[in-house]
Amino acid sequence: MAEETIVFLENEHTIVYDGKEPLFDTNHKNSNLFSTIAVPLKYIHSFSFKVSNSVGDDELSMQTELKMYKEGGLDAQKEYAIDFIKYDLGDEYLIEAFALSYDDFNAYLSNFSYKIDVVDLAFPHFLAYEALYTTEEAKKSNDLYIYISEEEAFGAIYQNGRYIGHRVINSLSAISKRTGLELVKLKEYLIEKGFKRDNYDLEETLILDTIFEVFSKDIEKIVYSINHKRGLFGLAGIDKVFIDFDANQLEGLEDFFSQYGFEPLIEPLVQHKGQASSSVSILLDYAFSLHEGVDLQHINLTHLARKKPLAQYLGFKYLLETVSTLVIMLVVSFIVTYYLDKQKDEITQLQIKAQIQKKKIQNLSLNLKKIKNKNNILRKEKKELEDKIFVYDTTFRIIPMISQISTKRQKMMNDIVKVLKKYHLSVSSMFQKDEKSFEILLISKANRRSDISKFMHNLIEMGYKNVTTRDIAYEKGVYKSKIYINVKEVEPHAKR
Amino acid sequence: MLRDKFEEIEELDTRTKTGIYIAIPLVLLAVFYFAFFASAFDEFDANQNKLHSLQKELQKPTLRLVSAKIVRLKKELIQNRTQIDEKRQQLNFFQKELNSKSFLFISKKSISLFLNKLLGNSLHKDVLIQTITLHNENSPYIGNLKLKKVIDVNASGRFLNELSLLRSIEKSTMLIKVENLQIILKETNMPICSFEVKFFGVER
Repeated sequence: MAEETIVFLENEHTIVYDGKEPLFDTNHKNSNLFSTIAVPLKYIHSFSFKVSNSVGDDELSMQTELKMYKEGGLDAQKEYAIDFIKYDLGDEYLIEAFALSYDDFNAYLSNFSYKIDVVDLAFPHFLAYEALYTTEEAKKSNDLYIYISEEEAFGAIYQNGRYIGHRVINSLSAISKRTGLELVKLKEYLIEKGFKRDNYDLEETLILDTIFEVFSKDIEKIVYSINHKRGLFGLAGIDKVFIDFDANQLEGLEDFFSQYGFEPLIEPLVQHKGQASSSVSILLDYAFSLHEGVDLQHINLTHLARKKPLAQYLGFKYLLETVSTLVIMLVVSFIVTYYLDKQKDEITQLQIKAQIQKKKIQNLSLNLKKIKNKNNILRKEKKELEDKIFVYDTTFRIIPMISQISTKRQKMMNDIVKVLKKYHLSVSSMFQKDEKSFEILLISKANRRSDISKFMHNLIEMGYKNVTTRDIAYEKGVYKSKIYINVKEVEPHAKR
Repeated sequence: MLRDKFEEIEELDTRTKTGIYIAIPLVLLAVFYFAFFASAFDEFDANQNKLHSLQKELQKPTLRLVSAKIVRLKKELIQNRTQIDEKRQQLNFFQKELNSKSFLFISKKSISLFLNKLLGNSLHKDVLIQTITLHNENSPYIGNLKLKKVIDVNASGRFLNELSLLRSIEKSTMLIKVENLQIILKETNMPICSFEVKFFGVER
């Protein structure tokens, strides 16, 4: 079923309408379809007032509600669905407000032969005629629609295709009650004879007069409304009067208007859609057009509007946002916790490793200390041995040197003693400092004084390089001479 | 119930609705941050520092160094043992060599032996020892050779006997040297001699 399809709710049946063919049913099968209903005027409270055109829509809604309760005669104890039509009068708005009591609407729906939970659009019948103005040519006319049915009747005024006002008049039931004429007979008279006096027999004149009187007052009320709207909207006059009376004509109706100076073209409204009556067809077209989005004047007096799916509420989005944020936070928390746990595990593993390593190091250090101590003892022993070896080795090598020194010293002494003997020299004192130097104080007789020099010469020949004397003194017939003998090294041949 | 609450929210003005929309995640984030994340991040940082310090500790080359040192020391230990054995052998060799020469290192015992021998020889050589003076020294001589002790001897006797005594002293198997030998010859009396016997020791 197309999305644009609507269902129009009536007392005994529903009408499913897709813009082409209305389908009648006694059950309300498709509660998902856009449901619409025409609210009887007897339940609708209306009130008109003017406000400054500087007021915004939200404030206007509030003001309208307040006015309806304060001045529009609404019962403060009851709840109402309130809506309004706004007319821009140039420097101000004319507000025509409508209210429908929740209780009245519920009571009205309770009489239906099926259960209704949702009503998407509840509107008054008199707004529906705007659906007839489908062309710009059609809109160039000021029209009056007179709707007559058993239950209700009204006159709706349209200026250039837009609703500007209505007037409730006596329904067929009300006229029947007032005239005492049976409803069926009354309808028959109106359809067949209308208000044309010539159509009635003499004995029926009284009936005509009674009907005429009631209807005359209703037309007067409508004309009064037309004149009132003339002042407000500059309504020039009424070009056409459409009779919405089951496609019937009301003969002689023009006489009512002519006495007020109106000469409109009067014709019956015929607008059949399939099996639907003319007036129902207009209601279907109006509701369908609104559902399709056509810009028509409308009010909606339902308090059983279809609830939005929860998902379309902003609160649901908040909830979703909260849940998703919580989920993200929880996921992040989980990840963070996971990483923290991982870190802790890693720390524990590393701590165990560190402990093992520490113990290993401790054991190794202990071992190292032992080895070090052993090694130090060995080093010490080695050092002592090396020192001893060094001492032994050096001593071993020095022994010949020392021995040689002694030999040299002895040789020097022997050489000098030998030469002393050779030259029969006397010695006063001798001083052998070491194996290299020798001092000797010689004594010789004066006649043998040359022996001192021979002694020195002999020593030089033996290889003693420095054989010197500093002074030779003659005293008491003897020569005293101090000889200094120094040997740097003994010549090889001297050894031999 | 929930729908009613949702309806109430729908009736709020646009600024409030937008504010709530922005506030929800911020408030939740703040709550989570103060309730969990702040402490978690602190813990994370603390753990990270702990990890770094543990890793640093584990990466320290102590274990490796100690192991390497042990290996090195063990090698050295074996080497030292071998070397000690070698040195002992070497020392034994030197000891044998020195023993074969009846060499005596300077010591109280060897000095005592030396003096005994000196006195014995002087008696034998008919040289009268008048004084013997001992001095302890510790001065360098040549290279690693140090002068350790000096014995001053004053004696009188026949000249050749004195020289013979000196030769017998110099035959001693110690590191000794006779220096500053002074002999004064007098016509009437026995020649008087004085000399120093210097004892040397090897020190490293």
